[in-house]
Amino acid sequence: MIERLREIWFKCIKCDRESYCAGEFEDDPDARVMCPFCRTEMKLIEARIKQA
Amino acid sequence: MSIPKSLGQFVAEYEQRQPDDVVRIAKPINSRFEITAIAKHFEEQNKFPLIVFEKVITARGGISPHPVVINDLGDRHKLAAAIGSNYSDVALDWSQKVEYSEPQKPVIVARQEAPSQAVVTRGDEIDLLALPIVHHHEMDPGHYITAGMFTCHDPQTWTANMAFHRGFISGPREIRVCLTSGSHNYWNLRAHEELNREMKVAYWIGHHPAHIMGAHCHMSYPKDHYVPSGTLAGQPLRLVPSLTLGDDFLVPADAEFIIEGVMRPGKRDLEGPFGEYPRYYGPQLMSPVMEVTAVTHRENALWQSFMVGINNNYSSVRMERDMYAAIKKAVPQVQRVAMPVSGCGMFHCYIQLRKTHDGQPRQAIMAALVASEWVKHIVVVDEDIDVYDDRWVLWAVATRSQWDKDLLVVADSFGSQLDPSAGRNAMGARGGIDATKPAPPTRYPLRLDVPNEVKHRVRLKDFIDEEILARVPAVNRH
Repeated sequence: MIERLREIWFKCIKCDRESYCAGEFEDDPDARVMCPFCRTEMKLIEARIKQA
Repeated sequence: MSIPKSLGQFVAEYEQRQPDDVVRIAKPINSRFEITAIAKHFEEQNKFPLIVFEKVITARGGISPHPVVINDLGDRHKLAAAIGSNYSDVALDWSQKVEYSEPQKPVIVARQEAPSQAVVTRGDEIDLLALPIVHHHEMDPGHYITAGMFTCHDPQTWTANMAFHRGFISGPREIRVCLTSGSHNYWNLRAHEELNREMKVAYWIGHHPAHIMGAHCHMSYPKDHYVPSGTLAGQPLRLVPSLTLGDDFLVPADAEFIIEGVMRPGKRDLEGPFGEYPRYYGPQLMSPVMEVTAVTHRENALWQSFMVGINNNYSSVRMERDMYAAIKKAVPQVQRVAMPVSGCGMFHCYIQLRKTHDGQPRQAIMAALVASEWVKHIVVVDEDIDVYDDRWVLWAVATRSQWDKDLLVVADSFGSQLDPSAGRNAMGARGGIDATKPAPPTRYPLRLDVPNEVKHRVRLKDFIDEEILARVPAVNRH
């Protein structure tokens, strides 16, 4: 079974605030996310926070 | 037929019977976070009155003509009042009334007899952002429908299915609906997508709690939800043909609001994060998109909102009902099952047992684990323990269990996706503790008490002035 992260953290490229999306977003290299605070949409790859 | 039940009728009746448990707020309040702040302040005091916010500022900045009602479904007392039950028995009564009462098949009425279609907006007239929909928590991306019964049909049998699904108001005529992959509504969507057909959908928002509770029973798939809705309410659910989805798409005639729309095959968009029942934000998802085709409502309609993440009594009572039925089949000696809000109404399960054999607690734990993947902490207690009070359940754990003998743990088990402590793929450990005394004839130390005759005879008000009694502070918090 594919092991998935429970969530993937990202930081908004406009307002710098952090949020997270579901682990399944990792399956799509072109995945987009939306900042829930300012509603800016961006590519996950641009905004993803690397976790330890 | 008797007067059709409705949300407004329930609020009025409850206010008459329990005036201290209904609060009306006439001061303007913002739908963005302020309604939630009020609910949270009450929660801190362990109070959950039915609240009517009479002047709500919408996302558009104006005051809505529609009041917002909260806590009519979020509290055990109100759920009990809705179906003529009481605090302790509401879950069992919910189950038994649906199963054993005479089934009430829905009746179809003409549009002119349907209060839910008294006011109609279609096309560009529709502006969901002008409705008093609540923006609940800081990291929610916007206003969300939370007490909406999302309704759609199995395309083969045209059986209606409905359940609460949150809906993000992403535009004046667009809602992104979180349909979790295990839900029957999601299965309906996938069935439509496999046929490359759009799915007709509707939210109905605001109805008498008995109709909602009946419609929200766990059913096999596909199975009609309208019959149990009427059965629990004691009267048929009145239905009316939708305005824009065809005459065979029926919606409740006495709901407060109906939002009609379609979901096109394969269309998904960003939705969430959203503050969910475990009191954490569930992550952002790609969710199906509902394009709204009509909004209809009663004259003077009330907007109903679930305060998700605050006192999840609705789900707890519903789960309690289902868990009791499942565990009772395995262990007939089960007396009561409680799903406390300390476990978000889902994660903790307290089982009260009339124990006759030392193997029964583990049997009950195993039955509970199988009955729901959400349940992860089960405590089995004796009949003398009040399962509706965490203090006594924890007292039983403190004085009737040993970790090395009484624990049953199932590692690497599928759990809730919204449990923040679960690992990858929602896997985690689940289990239970046997906090019961040994079965008869083995003896156990006796619990403290005074003779029953003395307890019944000596009442506080016979010795202490009632005014003084009323001023005594409430119990400790632990």
